[in-house]
Amino acid sequence: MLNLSESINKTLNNFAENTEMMWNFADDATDVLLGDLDTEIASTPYEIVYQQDRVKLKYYKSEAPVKMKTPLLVVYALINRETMLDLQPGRSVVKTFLDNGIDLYMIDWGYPTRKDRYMTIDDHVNGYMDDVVNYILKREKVPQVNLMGICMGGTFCVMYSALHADKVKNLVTTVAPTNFDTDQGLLHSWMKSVDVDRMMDTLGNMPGDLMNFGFLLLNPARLMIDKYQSFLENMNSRDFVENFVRMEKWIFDSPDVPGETFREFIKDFYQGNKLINSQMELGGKRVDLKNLTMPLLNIYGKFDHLVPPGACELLTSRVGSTDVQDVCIDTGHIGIYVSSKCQREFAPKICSWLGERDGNFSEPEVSSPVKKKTSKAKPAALQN
Amino acid sequence: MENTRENTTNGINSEQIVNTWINSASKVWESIVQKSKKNDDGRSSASADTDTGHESFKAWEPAMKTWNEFASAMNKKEMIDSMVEGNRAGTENFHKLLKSGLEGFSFFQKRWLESAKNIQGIFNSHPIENLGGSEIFDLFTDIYKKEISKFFSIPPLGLSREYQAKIQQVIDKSNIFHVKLLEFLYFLYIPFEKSFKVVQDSLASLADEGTLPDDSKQYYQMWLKQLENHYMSMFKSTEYRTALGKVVDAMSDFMSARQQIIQDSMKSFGIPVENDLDELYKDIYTLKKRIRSLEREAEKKES
Repeated sequence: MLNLSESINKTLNNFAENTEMMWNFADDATDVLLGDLDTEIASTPYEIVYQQDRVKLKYYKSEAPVKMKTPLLVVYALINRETMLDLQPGRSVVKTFLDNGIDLYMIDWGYPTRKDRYMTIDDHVNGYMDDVVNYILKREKVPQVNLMGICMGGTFCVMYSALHADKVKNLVTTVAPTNFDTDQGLLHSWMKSVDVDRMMDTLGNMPGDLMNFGFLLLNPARLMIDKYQSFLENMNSRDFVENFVRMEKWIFDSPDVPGETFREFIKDFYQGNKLINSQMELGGKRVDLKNLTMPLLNIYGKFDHLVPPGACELLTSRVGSTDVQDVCIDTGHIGIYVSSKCQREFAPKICSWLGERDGNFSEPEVSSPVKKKTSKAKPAALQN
Repeated sequence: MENTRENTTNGINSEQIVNTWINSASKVWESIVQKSKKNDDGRSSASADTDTGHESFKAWEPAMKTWNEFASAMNKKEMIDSMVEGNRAGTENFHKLLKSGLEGFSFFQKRWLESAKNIQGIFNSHPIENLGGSEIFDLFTDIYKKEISKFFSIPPLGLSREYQAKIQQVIDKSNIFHVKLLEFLYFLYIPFEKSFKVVQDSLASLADEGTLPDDSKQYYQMWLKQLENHYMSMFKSTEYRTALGKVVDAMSDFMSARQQIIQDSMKSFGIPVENDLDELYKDIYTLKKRIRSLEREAEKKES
């Protein structure tokens, strides 16, 4: 530790010594930024097997020798895009599922336009989702599907499973908000003072850019300053830059949310907290959580600032199923899907959990670039 | 002789000028009338009923006759004298008009001064130096609502009153939105100010202790942590939530008012506006829903 004058002297000395290093850094960074960068996302091959309006169903065929009997349908949120599950080959939840013999279907909600402003939650859950599930059941000639929901998609899956329990074999919810009466997350607090009617009457749909701005405001110091400071520090690393740009591509690829859906989500969930209390109604039917009698795996992030643990952890205590499991991972909202650490915990955990209930349980595999590291990972690393 | 002197200003005889002007104007119109008559006589046998030029000349003939009579009357000396006399009376009337105009202006100026006095009164009751942070925005909003906004509420009149009212609304809502936006941005700035101060104080005490970190990154991390903490505590405050709610509401109001004007101008070009399309979208949405429900019923019956 130094006093002020020593500190200034040392800083100046360091500056002089580092000048040459800085030039080399700038030279490398220029090469990286001006060179060919591989920033493609969602590169795992898939087939569009079903389409209704703007909604598409992606099908990823597993080439693994042993396959699970029941196909898995992944329902992403209406906010941002499902490409996050396949961000890059080494960090692809999709790839891990395929390696573990899961035939994967994934809903791509598309980009809602002004004409979709009247679409309600009921239209998404009892409309699009139900049509997609019916299509898969018919195509795969199976009586049920495994359902996995992400964030708002998880909330949709909970409602769908409560209303169509006979079509869902196992339910996996990941960072899915179900209890909105919590002071842990800023969103939960902010949304209570927003006049959503006035907003939606004016805007029609909820613009993706406006939502993104709101998300950045949740932690401006980290998301608007430190993140880009870190980019400046690592601009000379091709890998870092490529991954950073992939993430930027995903984060700012934000479709608008249909106005009526957004209105209902804020009023019925954030302001009314109807779901966890089994008071929500969809298509004239009450969404009773006691109807969730299928096995339920509920995964959430300990440091999630968007959907905090308090918004997720109540679900398992309110459902009718006796086979329930809560998994809290030491990470945030996005890290759960994309961080290298979670790649070794999150997707393999889902594979083994589904495998146990499918009758085809085997040690889970992870996508190739991190396979060696993951083989050492143990389920005990997860906090149950 | 006396009259002539009176009618002469700066060496110019106004009587002569009026005479000359009226004579020359009369000659011009007389020659036009004569010429038109000749043309008319030449063509009358060929196209009596269908010549519209002839008809239009006929319409102007009485007016020209009146002008000639008027010009002859004006040419008389008595008439010119009375005109000059009338000018003097006109000047007096103009003075009267100016006086009443100035009195009116002075009345309005008095009203504006009263408004300004009210604004000053509000400032006096809340001295700027005692206003902490966002209070200045509350004060400005208060002043705006009481003293300025009312000018945008003056009811417009006439055929275009609807459009004027909409323009006034946009200006009013835009002003409110920008004040609320400034207030919100001020809130976002507060943590910067606070974190810089805390870091400076910490550095001063570390310098006193001789324990300043030798790695510049530690200074950055120290500041970043402070910034994050200040943001987090501010985000949880009621004041911030209120400011957020207000700026979102003001934005919605402004956008809605602006949209009204855009829609009006688009309508004048025959372009369908959002309201028209929304109605159409609603119809499509309802129809699709009905079709889907019928399809499902049909499928159930088939199975």
